[in-house]
Amino acid sequence: MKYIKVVLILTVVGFFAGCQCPQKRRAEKIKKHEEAKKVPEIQEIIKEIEKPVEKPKVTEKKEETPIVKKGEVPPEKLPPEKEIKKAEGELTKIFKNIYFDFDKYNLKEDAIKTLKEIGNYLRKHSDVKILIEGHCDERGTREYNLVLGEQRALSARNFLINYGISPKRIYTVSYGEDKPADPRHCEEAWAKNRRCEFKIVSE
Amino acid sequence: MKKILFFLVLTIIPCFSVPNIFLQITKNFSQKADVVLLYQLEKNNYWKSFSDTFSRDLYYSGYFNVEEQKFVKDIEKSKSEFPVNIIISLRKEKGGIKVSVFDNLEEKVLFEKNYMLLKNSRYFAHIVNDDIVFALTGKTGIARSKILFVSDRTGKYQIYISDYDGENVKQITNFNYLVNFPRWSPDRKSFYFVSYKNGSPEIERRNLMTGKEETVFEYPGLNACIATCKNKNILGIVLSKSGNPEIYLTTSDGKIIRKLTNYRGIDSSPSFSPDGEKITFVSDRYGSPQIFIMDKDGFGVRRISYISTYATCPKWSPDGKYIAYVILKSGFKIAVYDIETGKTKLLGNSKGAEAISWAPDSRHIVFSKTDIHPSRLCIIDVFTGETRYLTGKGYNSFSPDWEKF
Repeated sequence: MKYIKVVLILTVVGFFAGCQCPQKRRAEKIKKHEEAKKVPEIQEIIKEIEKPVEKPKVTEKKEETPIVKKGEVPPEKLPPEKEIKKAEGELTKIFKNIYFDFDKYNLKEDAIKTLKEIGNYLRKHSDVKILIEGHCDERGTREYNLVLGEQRALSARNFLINYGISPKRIYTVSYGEDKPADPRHCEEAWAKNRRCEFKIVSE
Repeated sequence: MKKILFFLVLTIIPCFSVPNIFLQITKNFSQKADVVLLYQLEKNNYWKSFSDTFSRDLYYSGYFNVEEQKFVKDIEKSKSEFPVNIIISLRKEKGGIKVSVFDNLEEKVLFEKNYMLLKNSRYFAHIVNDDIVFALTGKTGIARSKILFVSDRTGKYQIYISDYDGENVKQITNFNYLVNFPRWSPDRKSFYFVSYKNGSPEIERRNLMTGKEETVFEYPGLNACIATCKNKNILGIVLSKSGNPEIYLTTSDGKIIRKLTNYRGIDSSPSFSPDGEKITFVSDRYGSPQIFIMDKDGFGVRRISYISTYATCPKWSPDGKYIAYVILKSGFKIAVYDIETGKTKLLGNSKGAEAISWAPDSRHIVFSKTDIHPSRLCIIDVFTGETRYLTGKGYNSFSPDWEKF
């Protein structure tokens, strides 16, 4: 008799435990649904992080459609030598040399001042074209200096392009350390050699 | 059974032993093997010239110290005077010349070869020397190699060629426009160089024998920094045609394969590893020029120079083990980076180094010494630090490139 009672009580308790009132059931369901929604999001994020990073493919760029990066303007093919002349008379005051620090190609204050004057002149005289020569002092590797000279010339050219001058009017060339203004071997000479020179191109 | 094994082991051991001299001079590079030269030959002009060149070649290889050289009547008799030396002997035999290298201490023949007599005694000496160096050390000899360089002795920059010992200097160009940076082609029949024929630096190639010239790269802007690769028809060059100097992988005939760098500052001076899979180069992407390595597809860039604020002109050694480069540290000097250990050694005797080029033996480097005026070419032994001048005084010599075999 007692045994049957225990079983009955247990069954009833169990029945109530397993069966919940409808409202509570709904609330539970909603909660589960919300949680189920959240978990996949986090899982997606983890998946994203764990995805192997693909190496960007480098494809051969076709010559017909060159991709030009911001601030980088392709250089121009040089005109014949006979068209390139030194500035004369009044123009020497405008087309002055600009100078750089050792191993640097950033434009200093003085250089920017000179370049602005050159830019102003070129704006006024729209038929004038120029050649910018990049030079280095004799120290350091010759091969690296050839590239450094190029970078100096391109720096000056980029400034003028941003100033509004058409790239087609500005030619560049680097001579590295091979055409010093001052052939001596001292700091004074070296300072004079780290320069860009400007020449007029007449056609 | 044990006895059989014991005897087997005894017979196998000698197979692993190498000549004493091999161990001596390749394990401890600063040690030299003392040799004695005996000539059982007529002491005429030919053989006098041969012996001068030959003894100098042995010394210049870095492995040997010539204790004595003699013209003798009987080599076998004279050998007894030098019981502990390595004896290099020459004698006439069967219409040719027999060269022997005999270790008198171990009483072993280390090298023996019969040669046909060559007209040019200096060239003959170079050939014999290189054969002996290879036989005794396993490394390639450099005596028959040549070096290209630039000099302004005529008033203009022209390209010259010299034997590795400074002899036979010849002017090989006669341009009336600026030229520079000669680089041997991998087949050594031609050389590349930078030319201002059309006003701006372009890359040309010229055949040494025929003199035939062709333009290889003439893009607007800079075309320079030619790096060649052994056994492969590829080049590494620098072009500024995109608006900024970048390194390009190209064919040796002038076609671009791909652009390797994409940094807005300076990327320059590429040099290939001997298998062509990696490239070392200069970049100022961290604020000043430093040395980097990348794969030949432009990926995997890593920096290897940390000892100076200025590091340029990296050159990969022909055996692939080292990258030598120029740094600024109380003057310009050569640093040698060991790829396996990651350690960098500074060559104290290389003061004034501007441009460098490895010898085919991966032991010597030729550099232009520019702390003296006029500048001269100098050769340094990376292991011993010994130096010697290649070119004379009185005129500038620079931009060397050493032939590689």
